[in-house]
Amino acid sequence: MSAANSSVLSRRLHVTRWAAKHNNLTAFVTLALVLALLPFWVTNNYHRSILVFIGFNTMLTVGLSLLMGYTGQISLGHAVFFGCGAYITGLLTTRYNWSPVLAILAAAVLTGLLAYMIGIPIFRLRGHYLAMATLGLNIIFETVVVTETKWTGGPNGLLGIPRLNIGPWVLKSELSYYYLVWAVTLAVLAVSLNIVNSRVGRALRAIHASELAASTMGVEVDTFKLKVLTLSAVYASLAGSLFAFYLQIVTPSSFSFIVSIELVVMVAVGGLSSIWGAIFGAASITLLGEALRNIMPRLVRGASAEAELLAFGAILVIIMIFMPDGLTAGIVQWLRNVRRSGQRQAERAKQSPDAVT
Amino acid sequence: MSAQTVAPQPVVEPRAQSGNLVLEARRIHKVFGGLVAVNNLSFSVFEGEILSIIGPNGAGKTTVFNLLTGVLPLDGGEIWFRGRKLNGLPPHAIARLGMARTFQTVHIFENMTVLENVMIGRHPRSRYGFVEAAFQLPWARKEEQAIRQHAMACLELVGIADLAGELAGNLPFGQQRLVELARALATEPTCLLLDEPASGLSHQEVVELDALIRRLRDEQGITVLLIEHDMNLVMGIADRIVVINYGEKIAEGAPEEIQQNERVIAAYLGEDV
Repeated sequence: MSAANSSVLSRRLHVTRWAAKHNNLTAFVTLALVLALLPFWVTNNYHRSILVFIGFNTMLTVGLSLLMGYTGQISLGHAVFFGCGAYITGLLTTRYNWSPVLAILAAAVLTGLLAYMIGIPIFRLRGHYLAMATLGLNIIFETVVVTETKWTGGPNGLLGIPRLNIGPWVLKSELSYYYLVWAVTLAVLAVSLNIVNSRVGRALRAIHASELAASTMGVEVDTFKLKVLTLSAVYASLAGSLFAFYLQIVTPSSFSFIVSIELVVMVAVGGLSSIWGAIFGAASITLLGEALRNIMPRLVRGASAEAELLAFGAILVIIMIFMPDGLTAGIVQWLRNVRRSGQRQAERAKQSPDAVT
Repeated sequence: MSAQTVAPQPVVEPRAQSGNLVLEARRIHKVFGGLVAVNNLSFSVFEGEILSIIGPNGAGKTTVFNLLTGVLPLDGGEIWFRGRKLNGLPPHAIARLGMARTFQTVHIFENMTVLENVMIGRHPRSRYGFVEAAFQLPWARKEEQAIRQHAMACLELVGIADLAGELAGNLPFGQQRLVELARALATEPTCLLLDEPASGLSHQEVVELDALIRRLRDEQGITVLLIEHDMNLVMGIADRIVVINYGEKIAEGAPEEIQQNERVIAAYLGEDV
């Protein structure tokens, strides 16, 4: 390998990295613009509320993607951190009259701390055992929330959470929550994209590929696992806080075991190690859920929520069979095939110009 | 691979400098269940030497590496590395102190490019973390640049700079070994532990590996610990050889001494012939 040659190579590599980075930037700016303009087209409050929920789910999914997709640590208990954020915010604002912004920050710090402390013992487990243990977190959370009625309102939930205010400005309309939630989501997204494309992101992926090799290369495996869990819990807490202000009520069912599973599904559908995939997964599964809720009762007379879950499951099985790398990767592959066959047709047309008129 | 192939040099043995002790195993001991894998083994490694550890399959060679790098805890004895006792230190701390290794069965990060693999090797020599990464702080960017440059230099050193952008998992086995080696070099090791680096390589690749290991020692001053079954490579390159069998040291000395040692011939070479 001559020096001149390699410098050309390294320059080319530099160029591709630059392009990759700018692709991310372009995609990010495009997404921000689309989101900013979307409400002009989506004027129905119900539809706007779906968009808000996609925002919550994106925050949750992006965090879970960092933990599961990038670092390879399965969590079937992510709804717990979502719930912690919501309940802590709710408690502080209703029982102690904290200002909403302070409550959000306090919830994020406390949930992050909780995740860190849970992580210390739980990360002694790997693979399926870790999954089982995180599953247990849901049960603990649900039990605490349902039985500590004095604090949490029990099964009826925590009522009377005030509207979110930033200084004198009180957020009331659907539209204001839409913008707030998506502003925070975009911040979460930007931070996550930066982390993924950095020394930290590399270390996380290294842990996923081989903990043994990562540790002998100097990666502090346990510390990084704890930190990424904490970060994803903080994201979840932020989502939970905003969720609490948005609905002004938090009930245990919003943070149940099913929600944890749905989040994992969103990550899997989006494609495990892809931040952009996480948004896509969050959006598609949220929309799918809403669509099924509307369609199923029409298709099957007297169909209830269970019927919706049935169709949900069937669709997931189909996705996983035909697009095991997730919907995003599957669609990208499909587009590539389409383009390639298009090129082939164009070439054929060029070869025999008479054939095509 | 390198453009101008380095011919195997005549064996000029730079004997172990009796001076600086780099690594010392003192009566290290490891038991798996009822099986004694490493039995009160002691040896010393001096600065700038190539020490080869040989022995029949299952003799406990890889276990010794796992003990040295902190992958497995010791059941007895002590390990000293550049004046520090390593007992109880986790692998990442030992890597930070300047010990790097490759694996008998390659452990590259298949989901990453070759360059990214080697950039991981810069992990213990760089600092920026979650917060700096999240907000792309100026000095994090600067450090990232330095990480990339150093990793690229390591790729050039082992002669696979042209593969930088390839997905590591897609490479043939021999090149994956080189990726692992470049990654280990990126940690700027004082002491490099190579676990059967020649296994699965073609004859030509072994010749190049031989030259590369010598170059690392001569130009970078890296002390090399080598587990290897390829006796041509070992006898040509090693300054000293430690022979173990059933976890015990049965001989130690220069290659020509080892070749004549009766216990070695009986226990090891004898079995092979």
